[in-house]
Order: sequence, then structure tokens, then C-alpha cells
Amino acid sequence: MAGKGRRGLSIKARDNLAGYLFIAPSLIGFCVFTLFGVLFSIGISFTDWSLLRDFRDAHFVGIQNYVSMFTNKLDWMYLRASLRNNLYLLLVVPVTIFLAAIIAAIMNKAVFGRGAARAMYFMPYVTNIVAVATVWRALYHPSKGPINMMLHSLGVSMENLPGWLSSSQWALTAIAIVLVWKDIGYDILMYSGALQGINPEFYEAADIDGANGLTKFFRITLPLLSPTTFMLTILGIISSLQMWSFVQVIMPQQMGTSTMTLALYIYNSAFKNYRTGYAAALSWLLCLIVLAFTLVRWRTQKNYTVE
Amino acid sequence: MSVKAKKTRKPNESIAVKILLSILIWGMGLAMIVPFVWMLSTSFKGVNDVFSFPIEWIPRRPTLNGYIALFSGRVSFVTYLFNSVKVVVIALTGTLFSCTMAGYAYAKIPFFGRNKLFMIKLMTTMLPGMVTMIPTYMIYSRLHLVDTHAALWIGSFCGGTFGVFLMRQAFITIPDSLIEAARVDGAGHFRTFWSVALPNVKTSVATLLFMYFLWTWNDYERPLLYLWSESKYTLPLAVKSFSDDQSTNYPAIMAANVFMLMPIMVFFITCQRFFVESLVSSGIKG
Repeated sequence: MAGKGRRGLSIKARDNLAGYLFIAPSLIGFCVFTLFGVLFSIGISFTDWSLLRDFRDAHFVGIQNYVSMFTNKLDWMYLRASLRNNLYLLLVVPVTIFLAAIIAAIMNKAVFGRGAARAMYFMPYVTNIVAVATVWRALYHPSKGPINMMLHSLGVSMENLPGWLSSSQWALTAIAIVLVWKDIGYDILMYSGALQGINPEFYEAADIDGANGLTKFFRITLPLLSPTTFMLTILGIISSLQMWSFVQVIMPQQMGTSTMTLALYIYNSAFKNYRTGYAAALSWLLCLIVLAFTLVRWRTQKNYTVE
Repeated sequence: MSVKAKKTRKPNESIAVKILLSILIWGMGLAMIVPFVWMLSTSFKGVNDVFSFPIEWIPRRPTLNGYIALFSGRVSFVTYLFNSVKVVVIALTGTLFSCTMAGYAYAKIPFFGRNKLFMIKLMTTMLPGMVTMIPTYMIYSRLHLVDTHAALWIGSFCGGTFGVFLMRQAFITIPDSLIEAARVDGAGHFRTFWSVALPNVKTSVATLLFMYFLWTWNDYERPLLYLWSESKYTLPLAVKSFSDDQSTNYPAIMAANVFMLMPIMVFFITCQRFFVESLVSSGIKG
């Protein structure tokens, strides 16, 4: 009797009903877009389906999509270039994190107007990629852009000025620089949050032992920040490996494969070349790579904390 | 003796150090915003003055031609602004309901299979978006949502994992006794959620709306995938296509950027403290 609610349902049944009603939209979305999406994506990766065609016209091709990315000459050329570029762009992650840790540590110590200063570092992060890309394209202009004009006035001769986005040797570096600029604010913010949680007694103890600023940074600050570093590397790796739209905006005309990334290659294959089945196969390769990097990072973190 | 000497020397030294470090941090910070300053100043320049060197930070011959170009094209930027606002408002409404309700259920309603379902949902965040991009496109195209704004906001009614997680963490902090008291008084689950639980997590709701505002306003990928007609473009896609059209008309491109960034920047600068706290807390939780 006590377990019955107003409408004759037991409390347990009412909890279940309400619970599932509350999560219904999110559960439906999950089933449709994630569960069905995953199965559908696996399915079409074994076919030659194209977005433009009906499903009836698709053929089962076995693992051909997975094989051709490594054996077909053109496919492999694109894939190899994408993987190489992705590896290069991954360097952005540790560089950004390291710079951010230093800046956050200094800010945390003693800076006038800390909030306003932090906001300046953070502005690029809230800016959308189209604005970032169009502004930097102008700044990078090879013959007239402010960056090269500055370099020229500093004594670099006209012929030796880097071509930035219009040179296949420099384009990826140019993109990497923008990415550091764009992401550093977020990392600084996360580190600032973590630094405020560090017990000042650690530093007082080090002061008594006569440790200098650098020793304190490397021996106390960095190790205590390691959970944040861990989180930032994982997030950084995942988003770096999945980047496509930024490259697509900042390089409206791709120069061969010099700035191709794996995710952009997937987008192009699916929505420009309409090799949708092949693109699905590539997306599973990307999934595997993301997983591999995450696992490796996880492993190294565990070892680190055990030591 | 030496300890005493150190103590008396310290204040002066630390103030000098503080000034030096402040100059360093502010110097680098100013360097960070140089591209924004350049963007703003270029938007008021004539086409021929864009690349004059040394850089004219304050244009010598200021003009509004860049801004006029925004409203004299085939489609005016007012249309794009309207599209963006419309999508953001609907998407935030969807997010507000789907994420808070799911978050509340995962935190406070003991239903069957709750924890397992939540774990599965969390685990799928590891799945790269590229994997579901093609299936999602296929679903939307079968539902005839391609080239409609619905393709941009419909997902927000399905409770994004980040938002659900954020709200679950917020609701968990509410003491169970408060929920039980309301239930004993005869309030149903929805009433308890709406008038007891929700008012207690206002800050997290603000964070939720704020983050999704940022993402939806800045979203470029979904409009690129789904929108074909120019008159339906939202601002980021519009600015991209505008910059492709105008390729060397830098003042107009920068004016378009200023127009697009204005709402975010105004918001960011006025609510800086709240913004920072939101991100730090959501980052640590998420």
C-alpha cells in the first residue's frame, strides 16, 4: 500500500516511466545518430555506395575500400600525405601545452590586471575559424602581408621571405602557427584553474630549501599540473586528428597534398568525389588512429603516476 | 641575521619582479590580439591602403566602403544575421530542455539501467565525429532536411553528451532531501525538476547555454554540409563565401568578420569573469 503512488502505479514504475520520458529525446538521438550511425557507417564501408546514388545501385565490395587506401597508387598518395601532415600538426599539441603552462604559471604568480591579460590570450579561442582563417590569410600575404613586410624590414631579403600559405613547403607550418595562437588561451585557462588549486605550502617549503623559480616550476608546478596536462593532451590529440574545416577554409585552393589532413580527405571523398563507401572506410581508420593515440597517452600517464 | 636581511629585501624585489613579469605577460597578450586590431583597422581602410607599410593602425583615410559592401551584395548581411540568430535561438531552446531533463534524470531519478546507459553515452564521446558525419547526412537527406535550417538545430533537441554530462554533474550536487521533500509534498517528477531542482543550478544552466551559444554561432561545418541556397547561409558560411567572392577586397572581408564577431566579443568582454569560470568548471568536469 505504502509503495503505491497516486495513479495506482508503484513508485518504482513511476520512476522508470519518468526517467525514460526525461531522457527520451537524448536516448532517441543516441539510437538514431550514434548506434544506427555506427552500424550504417560500418555497413557502407564494405560497399561502393555514393551519396548521389540509391542504395539499390550500391554493390558489396568486401574489404576493397580498406585495401585500396593502401594499394591504389592515388589513394595511397593522398593517405600517406594526410598521415604525414597529421603527424606534423600533432606537434602543435605539446608546443601549445608547454607554452601555456609557462604563461599560466607566470600569470598565477604575480601580474597586474590578471583577468584582462588572460582575456587577451583567450580571444582567439572564442573566434570562429572563418574569421581566423581570413584574417591570417591576409597577414600571411606573401608579397604584401604585414608579416613578410615586418620580416623584410628586419633584414630578410625579398627572395628569402617565406611564402607561407602560398608555398607548399611553408603552408603547414603557417597553419601550425595559427593553431598554437588559437588554442593557447584555452590551455592557459585550464592551467590557471588547476594552479589555483595547488597548496601554497609546497612553494613555501621549496623557498625554505632555497629552490629557485625554475626548479620550482619543473619540480613542483609541472608534476602537480600533470592531470591537467593529461586532459589537455588527450583533448588536443583528438581534435587535432579530426581537423578538416579549418584547413578547408584557410586553404581554399589546396596545393596538391601539401596541407591535406586525414579528416579533410574523408570530407572530400564523401562530399566532393562522392566515394562515400570509401570515405566511411577511411573514417574507421581515423577512429583506430585516435584510439591508438589515446591508449598510448593513457599508458604513459599511468606509468608516470606510479613512479 | 640572514633571514632578517632576506625578509627586508623581499618586498622591493618582488615588486620589481612583478612589474617585469606583468610587462612580459601584457606584451605577449597584446601580440595575441594584434590580428584583431589589424582586422578592425583594415575594415575601415580603402582597398589601396590595406597593405601600406609601416602598418596604419589608425587609417589615414578612413572609409565605410567595406561595411557598405556587406549590405549591397546579392544577399544582405542582415539576412545572414537573421538566419544565425534564428538558428541559435531554436538550438538553445532545444539544448535547454533536452540537456537539463536528461541530466536531471541521470542524476536524480532512479530508473532501470540508468548508470549503464549513462556510461555508454559517455563512452561514445570517444567516437570521432567523422564516423557519424556520413550517416547523419544520409538521415537528414532522407528526412528532406538538406538546405533547411532545421538540419542545423534539430540535433540540439537530442541532448548533446557534453550538455547532459554538465547538467548531471550540476544536479548531483543538490541534496536528495530537497528532492524527496518536494516529492513527499506531492509534486510529480516534472514539477520537482522544474520548480525545485532547476532554480538551484542556474549557474550551470547559464554555462550550458553559453557554451552552446558559442558553438552554434561559430558553427561552420554543419552549414557547409547542409546549406545550398545563399539566402539560407548563417554568418560563418556567408563570410567564407563572401571572402571567396571578394578575394582581394580586404576591407570588405574584414568588415564582414567584424560584423560576425561583434556579438561574441561584446558578450565575451562584458561577461569575461563568468565566461572564464564556465569554461574552467566545464573543462574540469568534461
